[in-house]
Amino acid sequence: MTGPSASGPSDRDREGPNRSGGSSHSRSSRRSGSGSDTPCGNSLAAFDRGQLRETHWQDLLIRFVFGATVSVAAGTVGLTFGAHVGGMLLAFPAILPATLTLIAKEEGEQRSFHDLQGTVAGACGLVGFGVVAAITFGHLNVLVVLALALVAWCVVAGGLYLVWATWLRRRGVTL
Amino acid sequence: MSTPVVLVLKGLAGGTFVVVFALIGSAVRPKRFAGLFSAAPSVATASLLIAAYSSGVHEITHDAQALIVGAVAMIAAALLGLPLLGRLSAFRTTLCITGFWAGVAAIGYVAVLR
Repeated sequence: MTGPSASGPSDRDREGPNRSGGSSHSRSSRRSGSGSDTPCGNSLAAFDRGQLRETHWQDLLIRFVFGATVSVAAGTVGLTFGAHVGGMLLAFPAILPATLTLIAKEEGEQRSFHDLQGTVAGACGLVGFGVVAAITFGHLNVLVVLALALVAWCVVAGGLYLVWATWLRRRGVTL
Repeated sequence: MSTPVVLVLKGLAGGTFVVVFALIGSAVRPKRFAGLFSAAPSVATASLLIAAYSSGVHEITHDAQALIVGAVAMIAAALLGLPLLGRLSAFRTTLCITGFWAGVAAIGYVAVLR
């Protein structure tokens, strides 16, 4: 999926978190006291409800504004230049910029590197979403189409992540 | 529905879906798994949902076809951005990723969609 998959895990994969620094005052470091904020150990996936409570409403507002802006821009571009141009903007990396900069600031660049690696798998899932939507629109109810497309995203993105993360974990890489 | 109303609805729905996926992404671990949600179909789901009730099926089929090209551009942009993280600041890296996305999407449009 990325460099490491071709020639074995890279130094970036092997090293622990916060290799490249990040704020020494990060919330995660303060919480764990060790620089590692992985409550799930080395499990493939875990849900940490505590993180939801730590989410600042300002961060969510920024993301809302960004998501709304991209949606309106896609709609406007679609009306002006046609659906093919506007449609491409539906895959604009709307969450990525805010997420990457926020993670780098609070948890270090190593974590943002890991997040971007996951984004590659998520983007592959987005292709699956588009393929299912393009094939089934006009044949099925719109809500069914979108539900199937979301399932396709989950299957492709989740499947790629599972294969890749299992491969990394077998080689002793901390996820 | 009038055009301004459709755009407002797309904006509200798009913003809401982005927040929902961002919340999921912030609550899951490890970061490699959370990264999946940075490429979640948030804007796509919202826009296609509203467009389905405001435009014809023909229109949203074109949207979905173009979405595939945009998604391929996102894969390329994320892969190109990986070696930049650590060399550039995260902010500059995201600017480069956005530029890569626009460049690859433009090439895809000319090669496939036009």
